Amino acid sequence: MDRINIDGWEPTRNDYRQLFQKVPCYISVQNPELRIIQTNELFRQDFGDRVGELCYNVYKRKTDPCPECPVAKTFADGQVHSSEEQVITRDGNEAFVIVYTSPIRNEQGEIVAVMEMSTNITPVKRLQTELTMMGHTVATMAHGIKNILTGLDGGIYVVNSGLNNKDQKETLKGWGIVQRNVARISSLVKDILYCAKKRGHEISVIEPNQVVLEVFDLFHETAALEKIQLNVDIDPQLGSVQLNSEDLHTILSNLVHNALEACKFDLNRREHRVMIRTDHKGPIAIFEVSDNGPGLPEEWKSYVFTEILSTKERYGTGLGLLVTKKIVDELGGQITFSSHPKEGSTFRVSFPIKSVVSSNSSSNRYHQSGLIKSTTIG
Amino acid sequence: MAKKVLIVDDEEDVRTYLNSLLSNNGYETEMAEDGEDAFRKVKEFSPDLIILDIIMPNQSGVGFYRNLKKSKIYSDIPVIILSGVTAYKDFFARERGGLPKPQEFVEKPFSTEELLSKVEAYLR
Repeated sequence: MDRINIDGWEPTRNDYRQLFQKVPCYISVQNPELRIIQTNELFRQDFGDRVGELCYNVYKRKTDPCPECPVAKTFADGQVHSSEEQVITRDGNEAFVIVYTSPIRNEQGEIVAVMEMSTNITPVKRLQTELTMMGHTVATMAHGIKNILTGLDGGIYVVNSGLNNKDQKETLKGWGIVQRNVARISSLVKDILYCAKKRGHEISVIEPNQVVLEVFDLFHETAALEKIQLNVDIDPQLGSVQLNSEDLHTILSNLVHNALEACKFDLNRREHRVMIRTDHKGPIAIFEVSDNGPGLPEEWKSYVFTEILSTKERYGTGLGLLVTKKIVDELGGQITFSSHPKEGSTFRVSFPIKSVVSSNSSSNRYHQSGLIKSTTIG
Repeated sequence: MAKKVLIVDDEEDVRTYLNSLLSNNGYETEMAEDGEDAFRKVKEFSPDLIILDIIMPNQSGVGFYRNLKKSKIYSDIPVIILSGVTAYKDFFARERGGLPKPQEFVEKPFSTEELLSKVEAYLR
């Protein structure tokens, strides 16, 4: 039985037309040339009125048919075919769709057209990606926790050894190991909580250059201790912007912290420097943190903002970049990076300037330097 | 005469831990913080056994192990891999690139008894 009769209602041609138009998936009917001859409402909403155009041109902006075209297969064998495809909507967004095809036959049974129905599964795909990322993140986090546990085991052993040997120096050394690893757990937990929670960001008019100088003040002593030259290069034309100063401070602090860590453990070079720079290009405020450390390993580049990574994971939680990316995204900004082996890395954060008040300060760029490295790192 | 163990780990806390553990159990120890440093120490210290971490800056444990096993003089020194990355257990088990398998793989965090028994087995 393929239909239940309802008293007083017999589906009309118009009912079927309504069904075709209103069904919540993209429908196109194509001829053997793969030219679209009919579309439904949702298709027209997301791809435009494209009757007469070639399917692969409309869906994928390609000049040749797809190698495994399910419509072509249905024309060839009259069977239903399905595939998962990536398409581009009229506003340039990529979407994932599951495609099913079905033949349309004339009275003689010949296939004269194929109906292609595509369901947009982009939100499902996004969820799938997030779950995969979460799996990677949990695995990497477990590895980080293993290292902390090894540190704690070690600290306890050395404390006990010091107590047994009545060696206060050894005991204190062990206690230092315990303390460092407890601090690592605390830091890891804070970062995990930050990543897991969705936060509101109170936006106000702030002086971003002032925030940059605060971050410089926060780190210049640490940098000097490690004999790393920390500099700022301020664009005075970057006036007030609408942002959250605490968030900008966290973003820049994370990036500067990472840059200093990268330099600290780089034995390829004797003199290291980290630069915090501000700039503006039209309505975009730009913040850059660059270093001349070892650069990011090539194999990490695709995962920089999606997984826990650290060149010295044992000394940090490795969550800093995830936290940074999360804040930048929530504030409507963008974060990118460039990195070259043995040359260093530059992380660039940009925000649309919703309100710029021209600064009264000098038009010359402002520079400030930390202590110059005078000896090599051991 | 005490048997000599070279500890190779980039993390100072782990080096301190292993140094304390092995010294308390009668071994003479030397420490290195990466693969390059380790090769220098192999030449200077001539260890009877090496305990090797894998993920380290500059030259990783894999790079060091490869160089060690290629060396005509030092290739016979037994190596215990000590790593938190269990994937390296399979990596070495598959004899990648014709490399001989290390003597043991110990996963971090480890029990002192387990590590000591494996060290002892090679230095008896």
